[in-house]
Order: sequence, then C-alpha cells, then structure tokens
Amino acid sequence: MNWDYLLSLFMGGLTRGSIYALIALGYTMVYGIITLINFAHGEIYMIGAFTALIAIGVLTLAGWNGTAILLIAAVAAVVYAAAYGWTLERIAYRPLRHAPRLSALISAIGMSLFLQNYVRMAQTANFLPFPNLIPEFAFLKPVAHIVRSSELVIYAVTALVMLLLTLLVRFTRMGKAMRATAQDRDMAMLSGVDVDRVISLTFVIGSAIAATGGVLIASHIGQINFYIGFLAGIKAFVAAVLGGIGSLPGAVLGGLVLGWTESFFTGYVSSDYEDVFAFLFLVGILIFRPSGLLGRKQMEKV
Amino acid sequence: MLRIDDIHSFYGNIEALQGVSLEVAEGEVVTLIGANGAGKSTTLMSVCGLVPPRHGAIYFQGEPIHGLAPHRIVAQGIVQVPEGRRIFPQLTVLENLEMGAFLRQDKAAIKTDLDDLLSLFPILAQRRRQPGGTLSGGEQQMLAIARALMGRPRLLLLDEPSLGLAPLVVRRIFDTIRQINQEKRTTILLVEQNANLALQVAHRGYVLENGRITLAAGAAELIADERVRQAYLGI
Repeated sequence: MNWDYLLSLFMGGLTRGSIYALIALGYTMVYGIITLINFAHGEIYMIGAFTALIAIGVLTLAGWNGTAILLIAAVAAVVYAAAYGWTLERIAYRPLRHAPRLSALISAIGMSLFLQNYVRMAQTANFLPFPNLIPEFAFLKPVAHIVRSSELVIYAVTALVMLLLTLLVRFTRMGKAMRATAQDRDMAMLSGVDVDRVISLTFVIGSAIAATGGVLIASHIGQINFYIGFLAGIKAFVAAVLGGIGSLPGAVLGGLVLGWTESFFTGYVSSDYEDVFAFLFLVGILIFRPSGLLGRKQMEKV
Repeated sequence: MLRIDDIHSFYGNIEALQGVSLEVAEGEVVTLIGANGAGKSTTLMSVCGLVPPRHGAIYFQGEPIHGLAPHRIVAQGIVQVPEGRRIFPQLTVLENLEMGAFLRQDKAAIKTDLDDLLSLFPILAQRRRQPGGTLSGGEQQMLAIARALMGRPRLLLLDEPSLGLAPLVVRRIFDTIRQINQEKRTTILLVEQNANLALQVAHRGYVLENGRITLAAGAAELIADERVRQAYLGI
C-alpha cells in the first residue's frame, strides 16, 4: 500500500472539505433562520474570488507585492461579498418574506443565474489565472508531495473561521438573537429582537465566510471563471444537507465527509465520475437519512 | 395606560377584530374573556405589532404604538407571554431567561432580577442548564412568565396561561399572577378561556364575541351577570 498516496488523498480531501464547509456554513445559517435555500450563495463565493483578483491586479499595478496584497485583497473580497449578500437579501428575498416558499426559491435561482451572467458580461467567460500569493513554507518542503503550503493555510483559516463563528453564535448577544430567531421567529420578535437585522447579519456573515473560501481556493487552484460558484455551491449544498441543514457543526462535518469521499473516490476509483459521485451521495442521503448526519428530525409545529 | 381604539385586524382576508376598543389603567389586572376564535389572542398580537391593525389606533402612555415594529413596542415595556408558552426549545432555561432581558443594558440589575426569579421559581433554578424544550408544561409556563418578567414589563400581556395545565399548576400560576400585580405593581392584561379563574384575579373584564366587545364591567359584576354565567362560567 502506498501510504504517501493515501495521505495525499486525505490532505486533498481535507482541502476540498474545508472549502465545502466554508460555503456550506452560509447555506445552513440562512436555512436555519429563514428556511430558504439561498441558491445564489455559490455566486457570492465566486464574486469573492473575482473581487480579490481585481484587487490584486490593482495593487500589483500600484507597485505592491507579496503576501500583503493577498491580505488586503482578501479583506476587500470579504467586504464586497458581504455587501452583495446584504443587498441580495434586501432585493430578492425580503419582499418575498411572506410569500409562499417556492417564490423565494425561484427568486434565489434567478439571482444565481443573474449574478453568473453579470460577472460573465462584466469580466469574461474565460478562465483567468489567479496568482498564488500564499508564501511557501520551508518546513513543508520534505512533504511537498503530500501537502502544499496553500493547503495548510486553508486548514488554518477554516479552523479559525469556525472557531470565531462558534464563539459568535454561542456567546454573544447577537448570537443568542440568531439562535432564538432560528428556533421561533415570532417569539424572538416578542423578546425585542430586531429580526430583520438578524436576517441581514446572517447573510452578511455567510457571504463573508464564502468569500474567504473563494479567495483561498482560487489561490490554491490558480484559476477562476464566472462558473466556479455553481459547482462549488451545489456541492456545498450537498454538504449542508449531508450534515443536516440548519446545523453549523453539521455543515462542517458534511463538508469534510464529502471532501474525503470525493478525494478517495477520484484517487482510487475514477476521476471522470468525480461530480457524479457527489450527486449520487445527495440522492443516497435524501433516501436513507433525509435529516442528515447531525440534523434533527423535522418536528411538526404544534 | 393602554388604550385600544376601534381596531380592525385581519388574518389574510378574515377580519378577526371588527372594531375592538378597550382600556387598561396603570396597576390594574384586566381580563379579556371569550370563546375560542373570538379574537382574544389577535387583540394581544395587535398590541404587540405582530398582527398590526389595519384600522384604528393603539396608545400606550398616551403615545400611538400601532404601526411600530414589534421590537420597538417591546422596548416601550409591553411584554407578552404568548399562547402555548413559546419557549425557545434548544436554548437552556438560563438562556431563555436572558432572552427576556434582551433589550436591557443594566447588567447588574439583570443579575438581581435573575436571582429573584430563580428563587421565586426554584424549579427553574434546578433546571437552569437544561434545554427549555425538555421542561414539563407547567415548568414551561413558569419559565415563560419568568422570561417576560426579565424584561421588567410595565404592561404584561398573558395569553391563556392555564391552557393544558393540571389544576394544581393552574392555581400556582394564578397565585403568581396576583403576586406580580400586587408586589411588582405590574399592569396586566389577561386573556383566558377559563373565565371563572380570570375573573377571580382581575379587577375588570371585557367580553369579546366574534371580534367585537359585547360587555365591559367590573369583575364582580361580570361574575354576577346572567349572560356571562351562562356562556362562560358554565353555571
């Protein structure tokens, strides 16, 4: 057995899984609060990557270089994507808050198509190279065939984001308001929670996290186009459902499980059927465990 | 303190309130009795802004509050214990209580109120780390009332506090309601299907039928009223 190969598949799976998890968090947070699958969420991730690319270009022209650019670009991407998330909720979902759920879902799909094509028209339909500005760590040289520096950064940032999000949701006033809103929106209002603000904030946080994922994976893979959000979004959605939609730890677990299964499947079976596999997985979950790994059984509201 | 002036509220196209007017003075316990579907809960939801009235006006301390967002109405000191308790099931008992004080900034006073309420309801102190959803019905009702009191309400709206509870627990809840009114001087508007019980704690009462107030009088008069006795007291 080739242990190095196995280990590299494990690390590659962890990389994919981390990115899926970062995007899945946004899906699951929004679903938890307004029971909407925000299908435009993958596009927010793509817009994050594009914003970073543009920022990097501008800063490079201005004569900057190195990791500093990446940090500034990442901040720009996060802020810009968060603004997109906020606006998206305002114009596409809030007016439909009291409409049947299907209307909001259709609006979400419409926004997804709109944002893809908007970026295609405003930028380009071609793949664009994305510079890898993550520094090469010397201590990783001996194991470079197993794990790359950019992957290590992905693990670290993902872990940090999850830690911060957990602290926010569990211990802050706003976090408590978010949990209360997810559990009983009317009662949260009766407790004095400004639910509109909570919903806006949920979109802002979810979008910021997705953009972080977008910048990281674009640096790692080295190219982007307007379509990357679609597949990543769908897969993250699979991850969120796998973990149990509405559950934050579930989104992370679902992302990692999907990342690893994909990685091992492509490594040992066939790389041609990589994407098919994710969707077979989705069908499997929906048949055998529709509430997901950590999801609660859907209870009838009394 | 609270003046509801000819409000009309709708659920979709159904006019649940067809011109309700009532008043609650400071320090009073006023009860709103009526059959299922008469519009009692809708009246409370209209006051809280969750079902804003389409016509008419609601004044609190002389200021209009109809049309304000629910969280702004709560900020004025109007707190509701809704029907069915509506405990946040996955928040702990302690977190549920903290949610009651969501709009308050005075940390030290919140802590004192919390300690007071936990000694008033020792069962909640025992279960403080448990998720609210695991409590029994009576415990949840106590938690719901305690959560509302955490907001230091000036006007407390209680919707069917006796619903689905054992008689002994109901008595305990109503003793607490009387105690809140007498000791904390909290004004209370009480909606109750059990008119007998409600009229025992209330000073005054209104009878609501099909979205309209049909009778308004002191509690003693209502208990003695032949129509009320037949329709709501089962005597």
